[in-house]
Amino acid sequence: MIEKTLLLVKPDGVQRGLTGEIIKRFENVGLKIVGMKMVWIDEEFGAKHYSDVKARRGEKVFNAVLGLITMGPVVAIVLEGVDSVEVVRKICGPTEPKAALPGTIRGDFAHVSYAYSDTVDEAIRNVVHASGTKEEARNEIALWFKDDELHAYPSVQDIHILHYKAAHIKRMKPTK
Amino acid sequence: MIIAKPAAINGGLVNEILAIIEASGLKIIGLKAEVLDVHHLEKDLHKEKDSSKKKLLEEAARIPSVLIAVEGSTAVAVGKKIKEKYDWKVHVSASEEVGKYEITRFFKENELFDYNKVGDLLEKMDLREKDFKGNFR
Repeated sequence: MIEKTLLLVKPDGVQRGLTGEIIKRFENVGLKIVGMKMVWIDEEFGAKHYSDVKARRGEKVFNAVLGLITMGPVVAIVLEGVDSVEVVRKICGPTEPKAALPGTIRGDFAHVSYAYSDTVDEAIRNVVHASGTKEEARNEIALWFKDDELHAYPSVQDIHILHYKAAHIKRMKPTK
Repeated sequence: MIIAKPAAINGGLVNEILAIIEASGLKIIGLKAEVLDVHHLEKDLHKEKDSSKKKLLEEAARIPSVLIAVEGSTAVAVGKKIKEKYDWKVHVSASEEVGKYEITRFFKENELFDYNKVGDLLEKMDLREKDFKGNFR
């Protein structure tokens, strides 16, 4: 029920100064930031992150997404909350910004289509990445964060949004 | 250097602080969430005899802070405004000198990044370039 998921503010989002605006969406709904850091990954790391893309979408797409994710620093965030994988995906909107509704991150901060990004030989600049499934979230969090970079802590959200009781909070243990 | 302290995380204010920095045209060159040693809390901990209260203090000491390394000519001035607005929920470097010291004290070299924001790229790009296709790489 309560789970963690990985969100990346991709280099295009960082360079456009959207990090604060993006985090706002998640803080507002009461998701808890349990890990956060700025990192500039190399291609080797990027290949691990997109390990399934080559088989699923082909070499060309793989190289394109790799080029985009390594072009500058990203802000990696681990968000914790009820069904957070699904909720965070919902807040991000669909992969193609053209199809993303207003109110979603991609709908509000991007508009381009797949067809357009093909014409500039680039992966689609859709501002964020979010884990697709619970399993993917577990793998991605393990890839991006060391254990001591994840923090289990009590917050006002626990009480006001999750309706935790004090005893609940006392029992909280670091979990992955 | 700007630190969003545990109270800022708990108040859901991290986004506001980052947005002010970004909207001011400053560049975030380093960012991480880390649990800082809270000396006064530790002192309280040792004094506290009530075990349940002690437990709560221990929990509070686990709340991380968000450390933000900021670059730009107006970094100290913007920091002051943030301090005015958020008061004890943040720490900001009082001067450029202090800022430099604090950044090297809290960030490792490989945690700081030199990159172009969109504004930098526009300045550097030759817009007369014939094959310019709107690609900002």
